[in-house]
Amino acid sequence: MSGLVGQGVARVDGRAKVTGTARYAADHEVPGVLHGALVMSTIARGEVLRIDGGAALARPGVVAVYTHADLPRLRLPDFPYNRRFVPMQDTRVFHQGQPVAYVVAETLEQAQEAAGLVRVRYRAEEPVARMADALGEAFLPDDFRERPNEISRGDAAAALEQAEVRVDRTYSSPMQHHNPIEPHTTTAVWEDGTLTLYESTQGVVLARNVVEFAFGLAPGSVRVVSPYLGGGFGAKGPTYPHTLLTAAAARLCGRPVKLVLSRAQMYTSNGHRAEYRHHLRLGATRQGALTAIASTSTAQVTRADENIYNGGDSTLRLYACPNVHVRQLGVRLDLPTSSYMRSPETTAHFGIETALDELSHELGIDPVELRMRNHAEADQQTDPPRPYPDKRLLECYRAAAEAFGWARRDPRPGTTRDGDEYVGWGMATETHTYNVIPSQARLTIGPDGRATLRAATQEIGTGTYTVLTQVVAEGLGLPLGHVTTLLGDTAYPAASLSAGSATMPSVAGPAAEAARRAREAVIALAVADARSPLHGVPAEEVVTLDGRLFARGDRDRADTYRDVMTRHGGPVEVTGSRANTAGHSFGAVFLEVRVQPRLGRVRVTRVVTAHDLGRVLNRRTARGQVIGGVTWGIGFALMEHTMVDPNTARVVNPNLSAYLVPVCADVPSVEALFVDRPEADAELNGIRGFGETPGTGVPAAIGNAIHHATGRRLRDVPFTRDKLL
Amino acid sequence: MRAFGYTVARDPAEAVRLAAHTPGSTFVAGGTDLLNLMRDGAEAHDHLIDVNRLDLGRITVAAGSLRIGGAARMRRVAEHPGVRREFPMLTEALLASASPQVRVMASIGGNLLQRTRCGYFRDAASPCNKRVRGSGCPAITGQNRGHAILGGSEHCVATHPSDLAVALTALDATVHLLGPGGARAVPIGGFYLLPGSTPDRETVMRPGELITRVDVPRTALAGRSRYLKLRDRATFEFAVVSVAAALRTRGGVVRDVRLAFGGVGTRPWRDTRVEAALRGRPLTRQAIDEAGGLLVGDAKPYEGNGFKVELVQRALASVLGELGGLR
Amino acid sequence: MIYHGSRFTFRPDVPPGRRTTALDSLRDQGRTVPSVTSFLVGRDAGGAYEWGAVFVVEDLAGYRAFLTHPASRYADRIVRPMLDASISFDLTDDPDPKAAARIDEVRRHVLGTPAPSRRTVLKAVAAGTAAAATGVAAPAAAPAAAQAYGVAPGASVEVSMTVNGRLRRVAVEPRVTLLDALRERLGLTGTKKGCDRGECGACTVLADGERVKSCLTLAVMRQGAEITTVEGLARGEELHPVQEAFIRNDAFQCGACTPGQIMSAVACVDEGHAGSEAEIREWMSGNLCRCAAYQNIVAAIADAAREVRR
Repeated sequence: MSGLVGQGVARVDGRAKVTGTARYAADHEVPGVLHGALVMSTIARGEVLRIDGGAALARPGVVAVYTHADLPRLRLPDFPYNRRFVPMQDTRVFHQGQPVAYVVAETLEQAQEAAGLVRVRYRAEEPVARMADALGEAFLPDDFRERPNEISRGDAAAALEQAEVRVDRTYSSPMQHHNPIEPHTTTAVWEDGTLTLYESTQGVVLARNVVEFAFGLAPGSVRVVSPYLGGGFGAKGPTYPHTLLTAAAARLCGRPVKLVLSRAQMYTSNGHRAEYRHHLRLGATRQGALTAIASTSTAQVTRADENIYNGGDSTLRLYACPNVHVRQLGVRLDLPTSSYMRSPETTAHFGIETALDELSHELGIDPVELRMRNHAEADQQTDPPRPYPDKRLLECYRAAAEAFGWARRDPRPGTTRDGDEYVGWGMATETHTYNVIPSQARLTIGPDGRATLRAATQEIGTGTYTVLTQVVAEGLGLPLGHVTTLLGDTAYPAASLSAGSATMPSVAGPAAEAARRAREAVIALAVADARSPLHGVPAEEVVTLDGRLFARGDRDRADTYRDVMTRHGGPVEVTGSRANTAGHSFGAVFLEVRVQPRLGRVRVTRVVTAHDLGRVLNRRTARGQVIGGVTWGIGFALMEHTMVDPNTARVVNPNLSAYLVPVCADVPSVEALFVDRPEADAELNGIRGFGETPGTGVPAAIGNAIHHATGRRLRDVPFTRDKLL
Repeated sequence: MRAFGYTVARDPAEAVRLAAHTPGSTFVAGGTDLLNLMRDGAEAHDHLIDVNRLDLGRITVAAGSLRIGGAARMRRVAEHPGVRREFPMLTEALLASASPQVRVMASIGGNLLQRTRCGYFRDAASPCNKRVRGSGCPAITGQNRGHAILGGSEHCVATHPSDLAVALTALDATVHLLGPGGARAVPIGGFYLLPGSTPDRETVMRPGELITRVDVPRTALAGRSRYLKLRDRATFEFAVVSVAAALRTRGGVVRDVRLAFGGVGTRPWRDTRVEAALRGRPLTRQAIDEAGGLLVGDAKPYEGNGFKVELVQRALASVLGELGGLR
Repeated sequence: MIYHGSRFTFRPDVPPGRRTTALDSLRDQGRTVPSVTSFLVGRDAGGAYEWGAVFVVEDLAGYRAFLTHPASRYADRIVRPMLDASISFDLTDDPDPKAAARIDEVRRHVLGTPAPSRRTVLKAVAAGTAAAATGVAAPAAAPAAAQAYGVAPGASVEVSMTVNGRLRRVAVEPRVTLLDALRERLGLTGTKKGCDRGECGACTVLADGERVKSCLTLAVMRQGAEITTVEGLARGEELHPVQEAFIRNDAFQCGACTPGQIMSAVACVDEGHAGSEAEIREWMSGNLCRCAAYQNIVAAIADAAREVRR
């Protein structure tokens, strides 16, 4: 074994990214391509009465203006297509920013101008835009993907009544948007009834399935290509109308069509984190043992669908509590359908971790201690509770607390000052579910002794290319540079959507399995080959390292991958498909804030995290997820807020100057610790997903730190100046 | 964007002539706000007249005043040693503006003429009295966190976003214009208009006029100045509330003071009553609080921006306290 | 023979050292460009300008080579910003009546000033002809640093820029941004479009050595500029120190903001704004990173700044 897995190997796609040669969806050059531009509804509710494309069509270079009258009948796909309708199939308008017409022109500028010239007349109904205006109609939605919206164990109501101490609070977070730097892009190329899509997607396989279904095409008719993605965060996981519409437009006009969404359009075209209100009640003993958790949340859904994406998993599972009741309600607003947005469980988790802090303050128990007392050794949702294999959350608390210096904390709020700043320390548990999607990875060793791995999963910035290359290189015993990983193409074996922290737990196993079996196959070739110095050596005695194969007892009896394969004269090909199970990753975040209450300024000045993600596959990329997640947590806590006009339901800040994401100066250096198992599990069994765990605890930790600094408890993010004055 | 023509003017007289003879034309220097306004449909032009080669980019410290050419780049002005030395609030205001890249590109004139960030103004599908007179102001009953508490009317409550304009207002700058009617100078205090019932008219500039220069009087007062900008994130954001302050005290008594405010008014906000309330008085917390109270006396807060009433008073106290050495 | 001449006066605030540099660059232009058979840079005796320069080339091919030579571009870039007033002209002793038009065409083609409106063409030619005919400079009152030209709405214009060291030409409408000219017309997709409104910084390139957001400027406004994109940083296989530092410090994840970060970082170091971590954070905040590799970006820039200082 070369010990590559676990090391902080530099990203193998680094050179491509820093030289600008990595091709993202909008960078593919397609000869003869036309440019598309969407005309979006300006009303939030009602129907289209008339569309006049005359002025647009009169402009030079404009090829077509398509409306619902032109589009083929598309079948309504199921998940992960993220709408309960396909736009431009009829005249109904469900939200502002819904496509109502599609312009195609020779140049980008012509298409953009023409889109602005299309005149649309509507019959508008008054929309409901504000959750506060519709709370009275909150309802319990149907199960979503076999998950009920009401789950309970024990009797939370009774336990609450009998509890020695209670916390009863409401927390909230607003609508937020993913805002990956790369806008959604689709380029559709039809040729002889087959379709190729250069698509910005986190899931080429799912996108293909959705498109084939919608157009009624035979499986295999559509190829989706996405080798590099400029950020997803869930925005590009589902398939959205603009992809279908572009494919339709390309078929209608008989030429390839390329569509790039504008930043403003991304506020209504790719889902968002739904506005969320969380009424949470905790019951506990005076010693801090949780006896009841009752959670009723309300999230924005739409008139057409009722899917709730921000789930309350940590409420159910994170802490040992015999009586838990979770109810997830929906409120129908005339807004777009929401979706998963990085670490969807953050919304509910923010409530839990803040409520625990409130409880700790009430009881006079240290927040870390309180969490440790309620540590769950087993998954209480299974019957009987299934112990977590190797859960190291307790160690995370200890390691992070120590590195942070938590023991020096004076628990009294408002007592630590530095000049005109109040200093506060806060902490929270971090956790998130990771998913597993059955995947395959095909490994080919060529006559030159080099290996190529192919899998239709994606690189979205988390380091998929790098980690899979490491896994294969280590599994085979080849140098890193002799392994190439190819991703993001439905021509490759079907593999996981890169969302839900699923990529590594879904694909690392198949890749490792393929590597092991390929290695065995190559060894078998060597020991069976009379021309090989390893002829006759028992297979189990052969060691592979850096491209060489040698006998364990006698290093001089050696061969190389290249020579073995050259002699063999053909490739070795193995497909791995080892399964895995979903689960959770854990961690703890400790942070320091400095508050200047006179002017309402908060800044996060120090962050220490410790995470238990099972086995770290690459320290660099894992650390990248931590600093990314912490930054997202800061954004969630302090600044992100999509503002909707209460009268028209239009997004008022659909850009990056009035919708604030953290800038470089907002984020301090993060000390990221990992509590992992360096002892090698060669088979990479039970690899855990991790990407969404970091950052889940940060908003609560910030709120807790602000409370520690000032004595003021904030429960509604974002914690802007006006709330701190 | 709509198709438009483009001409490079070679001298100021030619630029003005071209503008007068080309219908639907406008001047372009850096273009950093203009391009977005055109993309958003907030403005539409048929012809752009490039004013980057008119030799209006110089920054000179003359005998009585600092002279900044209308086409001088924000970056150059901020870095100019004379500006840093004698007008620290100008350098601060400029460095707090935009991003390093935009400061390379954007001109002083363009910065003064940039238009409000109000989301309704910049959304062509939304009613907006500033864009289309008489169509309404959705901000008043809608999202108005970034809007004005001073100087608004029932027609418009949009704030002016320029930090530089606020600083120049505090420093009694003069804006020099060249137009078909010749050259004229306008004190900055009279340059920006209140919205009233005509929010589409933002300045006293006439059609076809060009900002050739901004003069700032050289005074000892300007040398003791600061620009405080409060935002919701660390940087790279328009002001929530800002204060440009210049202060001279002797023996704890205010000899002279200049104050202007951003983020709170429909134009860079200067209220000389506030200055008068401080001048000649000992600089105490109480005096500052009273002055602040005068500032917001006529404030009209809305659902989203009421906090600005308090925040601007505190910002004033903070910056005066710092300049005056109060603890 | 073609005599390419200019007369010029420096701005009063230009110190003597820089004037010498400017004049030397003109002399270098004469010495370096192979097609120049003789040249003179000297005082404009008795004229309304301070200085003059004349370059003599054999023929049209030599004239074209002269205009496109890096030394000519360099001299132009150095000298032009220092001038208060200038005028330039071309004389030829070729008896062919079409010779002047051919010279003019070459000049327009190379310097990128095509299809000027009739009125401005007449003006430019008139000024040039007058000077050429009489050898007397036009009145010094009018600074004329550039050719004026006008483009009608909907018409395309040929824009010449030096992109990554190569002269590139694109025919674009005025409304085409520099970003779209690079990506859609010149096939340089390394520069990314993140928001197309100057709010994310992903489109950052260098224009005449300074960092700009290419979505916020028009291609026509960058006529004659020197543009550097991320594709122009490496020298063959050898990466730029900033690129190396980004890889070393894992300063990217998805990579969408990376080209813009790198170009911005190159300028940030050049500007002298990479002296401390806090300074880097402030001066790089015009480039958003949603994956949030900020910490590593800052480390990479600090790293590269140290390299550059060495």
